[in-house]
Amino acid sequence: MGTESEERDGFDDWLDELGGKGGGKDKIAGQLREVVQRQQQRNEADIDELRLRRGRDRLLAEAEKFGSASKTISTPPFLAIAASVAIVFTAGLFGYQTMFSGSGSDYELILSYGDLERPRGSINTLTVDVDVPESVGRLAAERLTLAQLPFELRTGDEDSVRLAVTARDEISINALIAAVDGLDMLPDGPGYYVIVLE
Amino acid sequence: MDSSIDLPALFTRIAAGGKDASFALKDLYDAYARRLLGLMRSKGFSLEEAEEIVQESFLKLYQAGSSLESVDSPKAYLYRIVHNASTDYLRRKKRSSAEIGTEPAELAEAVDANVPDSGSYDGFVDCFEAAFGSFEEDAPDRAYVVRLAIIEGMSGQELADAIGRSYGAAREFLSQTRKKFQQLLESMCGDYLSEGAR
Repeated sequence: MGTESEERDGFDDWLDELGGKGGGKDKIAGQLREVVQRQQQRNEADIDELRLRRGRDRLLAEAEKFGSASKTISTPPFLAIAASVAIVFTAGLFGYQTMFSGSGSDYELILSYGDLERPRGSINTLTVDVDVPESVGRLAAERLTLAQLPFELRTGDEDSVRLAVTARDEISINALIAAVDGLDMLPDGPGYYVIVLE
Repeated sequence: MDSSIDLPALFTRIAAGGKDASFALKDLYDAYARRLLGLMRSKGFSLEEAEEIVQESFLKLYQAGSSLESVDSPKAYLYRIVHNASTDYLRRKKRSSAEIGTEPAELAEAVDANVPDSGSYDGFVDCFEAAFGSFEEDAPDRAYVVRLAIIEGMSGQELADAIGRSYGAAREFLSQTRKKFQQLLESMCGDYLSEGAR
């Protein structure tokens, strides 16, 4: 085994060889490069242009839908509050139940969008602030009360309330998700959810 | 892929939003979709599965919006999204992609029953390809970084960003990857290696 410095140099040489920037001294890396490139070329050749175009059309249609949805959340006055927080979701576009997995006090967060800087993370606490029309907020508050989940209901402007709730374990996080999920089904929905990871 | 594509510029246009963001998304798709689909096919996904993963990845990137402005390495970011999307896909399918900690000896033992002895291969190249296929099956994350190093010529830092690890952790991961693959190769294709292929 060489020194740390020698190992680091060897490692860099290996990466260079893989990337085709080496001198061809590492035969295994060279062979690996040939195999991977051949597989890649073969697999790319399998994909016809028509299929690609259809995929692109589907993608652009989905992107357009998202763009329209984004506009609807940009108009409420309480967006200024939301903008200061990391992630904004619009109810009705998102399957909240799919966001979390794990058990005990260690939760893995998988966001469908919005937090691509941190696609995953371990969290112990989930705080959800909800800005919704007052009638919706009070219904959510009722659900949280039934779930025995502590929450704070603050009055926003005359048209909305701000609901703040923090969950710290699996049961309460699930209860919280259940409480906010489905708000889009309420007559006054959708709501605007701001989720903060701590 | 169009080698003249300016990935940072595309990210900037998507981050700016508006109509041009859709055009930038289209350009990004045209530049990378085939390559990413080929990469997912190489990872063992069917074409339909690969399409779903790649679609989801592009959409997530688009939905990241203005946060794309702060991305240091767009290429690594793109591949990280794809990697995460493929991992999520596997999770949804309840297929395990866990491979960290799998020992080469275990890998060799696991594939031993399916791999004919070296005498049945046409030569070292076929044996090598079979070895990498086995490695990929048992250590998909490790094979993925090898593919990125080869296909995109990524640096150590870019690879770290692409798999969401610190530079030091990624370096260790890659060093282990190199050792594990070499050990597996020796166990499967040792005869060829001893004949001077090394």
